[in-house]
Amino acid sequence: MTDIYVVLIICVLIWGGIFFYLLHLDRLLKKVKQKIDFSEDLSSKKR
Amino acid sequence: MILDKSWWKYLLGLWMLLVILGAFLYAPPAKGLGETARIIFFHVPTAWLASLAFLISAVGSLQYLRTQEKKYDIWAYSAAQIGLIFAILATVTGSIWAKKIWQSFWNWDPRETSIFILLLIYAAYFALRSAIDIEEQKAKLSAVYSIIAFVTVPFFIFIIPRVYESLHPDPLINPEGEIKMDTRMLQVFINSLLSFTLLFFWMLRLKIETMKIYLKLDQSVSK
Repeated sequence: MTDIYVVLIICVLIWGGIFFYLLHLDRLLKKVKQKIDFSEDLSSKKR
Repeated sequence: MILDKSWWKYLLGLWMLLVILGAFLYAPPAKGLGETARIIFFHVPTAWLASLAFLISAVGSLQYLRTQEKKYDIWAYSAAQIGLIFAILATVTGSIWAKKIWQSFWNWDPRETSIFILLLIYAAYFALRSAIDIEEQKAKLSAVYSIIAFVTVPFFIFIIPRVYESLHPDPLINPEGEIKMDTRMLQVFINSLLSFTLLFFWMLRLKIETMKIYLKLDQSVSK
């Protein structure tokens, strides 16, 4: 295997890591946002 | 809003993968620089995004000073943070290339020196923010600092490297005003710039959302 393929594989792995981390973070933020909105709705109804 | 959908994120994942494959398998090696020239597909977009992020930070800061709205401070802070990450990435990728071509990671070439000073300037922005506890004062002072810091960006990125003799390869915006690049290289390069820009806006959006949630939780705890 030549060096260029090694660099290519490393770049693909780095991108894969960044991409799936960002995707995970995106989903996590959506969930937290929904929870906050829900608890805000609940507390405003209680009042 | 289109940014709320998920499909474009998967499209970006595929797009960037194609850019990486194109950079190594489709684009030919450059004359004189050989295989090392492939770093252009990663080094130039990171440098471009650092400039764009610092511009967004300065605009956000300006808007904050005009309106005193917290959201603009969040914009400015988030953009500066991501801009610093991309500036570090540009320095690291440039340094790796320098090791291969100039046999040394660091040579104090005008380009290297100017990005080093720029990194220091923006690192000081975060030092300033962390040194002030009062939120309004922090936002106001860092907004002024961010605007002044951005004034130096064109000077360090575009002027100094052109005034002093540099070993850095001819940038795309050169005195002759022509793009000296193979067509296939140019195709990958343009796609790389665009996909990196989309990635930047995704990162910026995530950072802003995180900051908003953090502020909301902080306010509810202090109540």
